[in-house]
Amino acid sequence: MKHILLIPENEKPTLTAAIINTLLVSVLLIALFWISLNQIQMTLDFSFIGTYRIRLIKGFGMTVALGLIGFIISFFIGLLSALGQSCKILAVRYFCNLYVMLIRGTPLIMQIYLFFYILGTAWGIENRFVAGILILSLFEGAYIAEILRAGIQALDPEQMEAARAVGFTRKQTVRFVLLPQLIVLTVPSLTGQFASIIKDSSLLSMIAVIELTQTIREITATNFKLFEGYLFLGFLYLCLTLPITLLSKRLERRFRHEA
Amino acid sequence: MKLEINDLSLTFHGQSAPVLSHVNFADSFGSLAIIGSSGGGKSTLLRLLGGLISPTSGEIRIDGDRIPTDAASLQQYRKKTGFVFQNGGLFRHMTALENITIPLIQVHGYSQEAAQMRALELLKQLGLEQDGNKHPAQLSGGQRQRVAIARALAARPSFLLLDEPTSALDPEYTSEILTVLNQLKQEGVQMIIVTHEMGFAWHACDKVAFLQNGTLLEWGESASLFQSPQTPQLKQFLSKLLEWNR
Ligand SMILES: Nc1ncnc2c1ncn2[C@@H]1O[C@H](COP(=O)(O)OP(=O)(O)OP(=O)(O)O)[C@@H](O)[C@H]1O
Ligand SMILES: [Mg+2]
Repeated sequence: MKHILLIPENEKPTLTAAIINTLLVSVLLIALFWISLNQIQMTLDFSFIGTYRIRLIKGFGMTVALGLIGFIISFFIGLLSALGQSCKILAVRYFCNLYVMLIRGTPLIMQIYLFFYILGTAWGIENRFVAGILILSLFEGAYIAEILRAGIQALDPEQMEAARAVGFTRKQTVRFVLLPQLIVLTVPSLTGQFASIIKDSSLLSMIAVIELTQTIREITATNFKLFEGYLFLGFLYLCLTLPITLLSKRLERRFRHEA
Repeated sequence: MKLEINDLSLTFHGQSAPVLSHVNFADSFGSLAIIGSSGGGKSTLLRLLGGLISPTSGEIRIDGDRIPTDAASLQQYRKKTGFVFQNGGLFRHMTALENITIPLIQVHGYSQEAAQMRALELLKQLGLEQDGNKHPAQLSGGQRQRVAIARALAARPSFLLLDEPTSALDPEYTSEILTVLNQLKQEGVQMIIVTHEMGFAWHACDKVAFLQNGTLLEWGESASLFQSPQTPQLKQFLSKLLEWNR
């Protein structure tokens, strides 16, 4: 019994122990849910999924689009500010430092309301999708800047000197040594950030971008199936984020002997 | 090879004290050992010889040709040398084989097949046939250094530059690497090696140079330098080493 419930130090759990414990945790979770449901005497009814499937699919698609486009734009914002943070022009450096500090130091929801107001009134960007993507990218860009900056700092100067010693030109050094090593150092964290972007995009429902969360909010506002609605919402987000998280873990393991 | 160093000095950017000051040397050899205590400037001198950094003043001539100082000619110069770093300096994201083939293809214009053949030939010569597809992290310290030596030899450089190639290794691997280097020397490979292995400097190198606090105090035939050191500094350096080697 002890061998199944406890892991000896520095050892991996056996397959039987892994299965039994996974089952145990699942049963506990389901029981907790079931008891809570019984308390409020509710029976689950998921029939709304069929009724609203077109809207749900559209919302899901919108969330995927926000995540993908947001990731691409925020990557470039992050790259520019990571490079800017080591720029020779001091004003550029300070600007990038300030950007990263302010964005990372304030909550996304405040940025959404504030920037949506500024974008709409001062810049005339009324399109909620465009405004939403810009705000989201601005937010995530600061986090990506930190990932890239840490990666650049972790590059080993001796590897760069070895690149010159074998006769690589500057361009070849970037292409054959610097970039591949930067990828090894940053791709696992960048994948993780992609999962965060998908989750964070749910806050854009606050400015009524009709993505997944907003769709569920609208549906539950009419049919009052709050519990089922948000349970299903969580399930849909997990469908997107779990594979990405697993991929990130895999990449980390694969790159381990290369970093 | 003929090496001339004329009044060579180097002060690193933003520092006041020079790391090398007024180094002079003129001699011919097949293999030269650079010895001296830690922090004396040995690695710095070797990086200057490899064209990895440029001096503040003075010049180095190899077989009469001055090591250039502009970036483009330096890159051409580095193509003709083979550098081995203390910990190998192998590219971590590449396999042992790729470490050898990619520079051959990209820098020396080999075809993929020719590079592959050359790399396999060298790995075999150094007893690494089994290890071509491993990454540096999967190799032992001794294997890593042998791959680094293979990479340095691959494009048939005019000479090898080795910076303490055994100092990170335990005694067994150390003698393994020294044996390889001695063999290469017998085959006519010319080299300049920074080393703490006095036995190797004495018996396997033609000439030895002694560098102390950024000054080249003494150089000459290895046997005579070890048997009758001229400067008090070298006498003291050698007697310290002997203390534990009687
Ligand atoms: N890039 C650099 N910038 C500033 N100072 C440096 C740099 N490289 C080396 N130095 C300094 O130059 C001096 C000589 O260093 P060097 O590495 O050449 O010594 P060494 O003889 O190789 O020593 P060791 O036997 O410990 O390897 C040291 O004081 C070191 O701190
Ligand atoms: Mg050194």
